Amino acid sequence: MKGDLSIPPLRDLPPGRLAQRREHLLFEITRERESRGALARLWPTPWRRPRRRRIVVLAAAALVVAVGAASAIGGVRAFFLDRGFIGLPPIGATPSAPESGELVLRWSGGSETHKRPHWRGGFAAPYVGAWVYADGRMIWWRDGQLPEGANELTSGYLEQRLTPEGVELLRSEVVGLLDRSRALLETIPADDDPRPGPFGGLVLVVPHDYGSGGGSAAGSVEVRDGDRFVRLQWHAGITDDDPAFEGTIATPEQLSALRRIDALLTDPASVLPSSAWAVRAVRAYVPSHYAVCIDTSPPKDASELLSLLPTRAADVLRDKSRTRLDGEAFGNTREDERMRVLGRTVTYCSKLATDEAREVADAVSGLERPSWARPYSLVYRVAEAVNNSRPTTISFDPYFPDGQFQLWGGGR
Amino acid sequence: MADGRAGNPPRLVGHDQAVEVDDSVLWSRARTGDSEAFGMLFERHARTIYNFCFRRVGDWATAEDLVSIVFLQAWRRLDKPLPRGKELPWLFGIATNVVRNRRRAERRHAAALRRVPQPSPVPSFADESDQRVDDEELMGRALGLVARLPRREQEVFVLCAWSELSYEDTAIALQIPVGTVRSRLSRARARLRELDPAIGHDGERVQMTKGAVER
Repeated sequence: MKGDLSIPPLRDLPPGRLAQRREHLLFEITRERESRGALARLWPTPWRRPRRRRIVVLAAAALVVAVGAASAIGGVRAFFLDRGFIGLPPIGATPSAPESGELVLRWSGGSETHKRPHWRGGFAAPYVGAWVYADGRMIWWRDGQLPEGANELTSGYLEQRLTPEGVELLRSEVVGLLDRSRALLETIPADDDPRPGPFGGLVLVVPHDYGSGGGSAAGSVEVRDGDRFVRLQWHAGITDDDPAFEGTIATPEQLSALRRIDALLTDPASVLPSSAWAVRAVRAYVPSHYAVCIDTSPPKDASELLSLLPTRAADVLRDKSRTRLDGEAFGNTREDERMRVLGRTVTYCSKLATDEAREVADAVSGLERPSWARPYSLVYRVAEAVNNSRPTTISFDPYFPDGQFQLWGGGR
Repeated sequence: MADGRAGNPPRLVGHDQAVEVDDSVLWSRARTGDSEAFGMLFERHARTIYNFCFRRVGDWATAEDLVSIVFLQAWRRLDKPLPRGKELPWLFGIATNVVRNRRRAERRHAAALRRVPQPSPVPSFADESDQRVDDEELMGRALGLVARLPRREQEVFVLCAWSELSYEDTAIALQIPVGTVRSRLSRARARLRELDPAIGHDGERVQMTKGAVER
């Protein structure tokens, strides 16, 4: 083949890599811009001589080479995880950027779109949670087995990115449904209690066979309105035995809108047009901070609960500010299957950087992880339940860009 | 090149209809700190730079890494005002420098590799992987020949012949006068013909290369 100057045709980057590389580029730009700002504050202009600048540029170049090197053997996946995870991220995983973002809408509920025949008859509708931010981030999780999922039971928190058009498309669909349901809307503060929504209240009543059937479908959707959120809840098959709920039966238009939103928010990759996506590739949502919460029932003082922890964990948590959340434990008894309030609970939550959370998690790692929480969240049992109360647990749940978190540990 | 130089042009979407935005607008917006605009420039030209880098190094994985480095370098140099519509030649210029500096970076590259966490497996694109192996073999042969040219002639040849840049754009990329581009390309072609008068007897793909050599 001596002398052959033939060259191969043009090719695209391998599937998914363009989006990954773009994401990574924007992340590097943001990080470098922030470090430039910090540099400018540390070294006022007369101090930043060319030689120093050169050193900084060389250091940044080495960083780029490091990232490039990682990519050469495995794409940027060394930093951006392509599967969900439960608990704390692997060391070195790149947190979602930017750290904060304005929440535009939030969804949680059993998904009509994803309901599947159940082996015992009827249907199973997996529970889905989705958060959409003004910067285009869409963070979501879903029960069930997904290719990107953390395990066979749940996806863990995953992230995709929408374009401004995509965000507006989702928002306008939700606003459309809410406009049709004005009498049922509730207004809540943007920093509402992060625990699962209220049990009861005004609801849009959907048919008995909606979702998983059997009258068990329920959910809520919330959309930002200034510094507050407007919320609509729905529930299937309310009977006179459910005094906690009241509402109106969904019209065909409302039901159709609810189904459409369900599809948009729980299966966006299939439904949204390509122009709605900035990054369609799914990756794990890696938070910068964790809510480390101690939950117990009946309520006790924080100091009493800290004394139950291994010393190293207690030392980290002792100096952190804490939010106290008082609540009620719901459940049913053997004698009566109806859900009811069984007692009072208290949860103390501290916001910790991931590394600090990891230190606490390491310190408590000798404790038992209860089987009911293991597939879904990083939870350790600190003390056994007494009588009809709940066990005392410590849990690690990610903070979202809007400064909220979803508490799993004590809530399930 | 029938399959085009750039990827699908991205669109900025307004309230009523999609509007295509040219590179100059995106570049200006990126200069004001709009990283999304820079992201769109990346989407638009990553494929072109990817293929250019491949044609300089003969390895798809390395080319992919170099694309990231090229765009990061470009972002660092956003303060440079460019003639309207000359953003792509400017990117080619940065890519040329990045490829040139690659060997110097390789030592740090290897040291950095030892520090990064072990990555998870790469997704399979097996249907294309055979083609890509063939590409690298073919490219290796072509690069072997071009490597016998002086470096400056190589750069001009690859930009003009393999990336189909105009003389003017090549001049912008390499920051040399247009006349110098012409003379270097002329010398490169003559030298290649001297090296092997039978250059390019390999079917369809040769058409473009042969044309470039004989132009």
